[in-house]
Amino acid sequence: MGASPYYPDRVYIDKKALDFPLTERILGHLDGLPREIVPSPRRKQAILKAIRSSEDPVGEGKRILYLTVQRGRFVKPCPCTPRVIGCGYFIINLNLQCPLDCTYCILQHYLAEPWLTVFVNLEDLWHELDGFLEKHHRRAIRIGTGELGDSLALDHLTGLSAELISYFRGKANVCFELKTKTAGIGDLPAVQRPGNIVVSWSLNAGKIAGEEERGAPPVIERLQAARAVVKKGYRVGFHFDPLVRFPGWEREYEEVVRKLFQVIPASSIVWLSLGALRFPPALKKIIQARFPATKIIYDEFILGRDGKLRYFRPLRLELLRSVAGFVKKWGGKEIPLYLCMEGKEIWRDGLAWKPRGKRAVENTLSPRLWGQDKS
Amino acid sequence: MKNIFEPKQLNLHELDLEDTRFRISEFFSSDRLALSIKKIGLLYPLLVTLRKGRFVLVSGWKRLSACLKLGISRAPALILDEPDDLKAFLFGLYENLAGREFPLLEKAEIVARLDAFGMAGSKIMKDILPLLQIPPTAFYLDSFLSISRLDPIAKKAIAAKNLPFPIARMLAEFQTEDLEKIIPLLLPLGQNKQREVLEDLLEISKRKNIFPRHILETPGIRAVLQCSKWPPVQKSERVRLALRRERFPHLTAWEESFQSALRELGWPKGISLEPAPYFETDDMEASFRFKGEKEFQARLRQLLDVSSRQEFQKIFARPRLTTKGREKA
Repeated sequence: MGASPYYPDRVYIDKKALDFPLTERILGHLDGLPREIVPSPRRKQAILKAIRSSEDPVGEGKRILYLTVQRGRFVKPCPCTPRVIGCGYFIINLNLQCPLDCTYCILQHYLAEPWLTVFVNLEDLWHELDGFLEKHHRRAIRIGTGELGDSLALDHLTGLSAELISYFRGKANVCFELKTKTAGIGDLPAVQRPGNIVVSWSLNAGKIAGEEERGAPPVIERLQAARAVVKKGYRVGFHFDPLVRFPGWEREYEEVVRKLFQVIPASSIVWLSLGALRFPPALKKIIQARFPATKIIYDEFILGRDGKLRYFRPLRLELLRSVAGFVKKWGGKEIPLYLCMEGKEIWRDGLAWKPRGKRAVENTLSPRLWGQDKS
Repeated sequence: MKNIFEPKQLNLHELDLEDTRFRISEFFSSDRLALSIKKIGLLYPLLVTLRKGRFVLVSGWKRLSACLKLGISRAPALILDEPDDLKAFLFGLYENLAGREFPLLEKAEIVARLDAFGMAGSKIMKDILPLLQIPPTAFYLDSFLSISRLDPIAKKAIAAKNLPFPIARMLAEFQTEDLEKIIPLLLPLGQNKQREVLEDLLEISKRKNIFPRHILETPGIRAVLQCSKWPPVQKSERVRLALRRERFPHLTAWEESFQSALRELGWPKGISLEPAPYFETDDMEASFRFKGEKEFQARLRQLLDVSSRQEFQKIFARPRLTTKGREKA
């Protein structure tokens, strides 16, 4: 799809989603596109069956948008992975799947339905969030929409980021994060003292971004988008995840870190996370079928305690420690760094930090943000 | 007149043995069947049909083979009047289905013939795979089709060693030139090790972008294969270890370093010391069996003794990565 905004080939609308303003708004942007109202679960299953029986169900699903209502909970703890130190993050499942097509993407395996889903019952979301925040009003909450889909990839159709920002602004104990790989920041409103709103980008070495992140803009465009967002008044975060080993990875990762701090002032960065490439064995088969030319899944991977294939510990550690070193070298030692889905030994040896649990991580990440915005 | 079976004493010379369009069994022994026919005669007639004026065998290749072995020139046959190959094949399939289990290769041939005769993949999945005790999914359909296309050298090995589906499916990922080198290496090993060797070859070949046969031609492995003092099983085992070292260079270095430290320390026999799987954590596990208080205390004394030695620290030391390895990533 290139780095241009996403438009589906076809839209399906759950009958129950018809009367919602968000449905109307999205369809207003998709005038003239083939659409079908899905009257029953049976019809839905028939459509899904047709998608799944195609040669590339994941790729086929990316061309289809499905508007429906969230019948379960929108807000959940980030699933993380067993036997690691988490970070206490919460996710809002407002849209599922992603129009970008990254080789390593877990969503190819993780989500049962291959199409892009947007839940349109926003009133239920606000109501649920009110209750959730009331229940947790004494603790720091970090929450975001970019876990099971890209936070901004559909924003030109949904306009949700502006609504979410409007909802979360001023919620004193909450930090809301929009996480993306796109450069589609046009719908983010300019804000004064956004404080608890963070827009973050997933970054990678130029080679990985170019070869393994199909549909995502080059890293430099992501950084330019981040700079524009900083100018709009936001603070930003960055996620180097997944870090991938390849010949020359050190040079390339140092280069992207150097560029990052050339473009973005370190004082605007609220956190930076690092995670090494990992995937369940079942995803490897999907990647082999969908991206036969990729080399990134052939390395010294072992089966980790969480059942995922991971780089053998010293290789992983070298990768994480090196990139953490580049961040400190080019950005200084003040930016909070955390690891995604790693155990205590890797935290200790990679970041020279032994957090006692996810609360400790959360407590380290949050005060910096609020400390700068008490007005 | 459709699908009428006309019984007949068929002169076997009337059969067009070159026409194997319905044949699903290739690698079998008909010795026992020949013995049975010799003793009591052929009880179940062959199933044949006419194509271009000649009889073509639909079902009964083992029976035919046994008859020919015994020098029998006439045998009972049912003549199927069915000009459509797919329908004729299904007759043969259902006839066999009632009487026996199909081995892996025959299942693969059945799937391939149905595919060649024009049955839709979705219909094969839905109607046929369950009959063959195969899960009805596209993965299995594709896998069995791949197995049917395997080179005869691999098929012979599968039949001879009764290799299971996962290994047959992996063999289908190799080219004939690879299989010629791999099969002799594989046969002396047990199934778990066969699988490990195939996985390692595929991984290394993809990582390095070279053919698996070229991995087996590297000097270290070639030296093992050419060595005359080791029997085949030892050669295969050594190649397996060499491949593992190639695929997991850092892990095997850590494992070897750990074992070497235990040897240097003189770790007591009867007490096992295991690092965490793949050294993922710093935890280790020491365990031993004992029969009474004295034996228990003796083991503890042994543990205290080894842990007080200076060399004990070496079991916690790990080899460092090299910059060279980093660039190689």
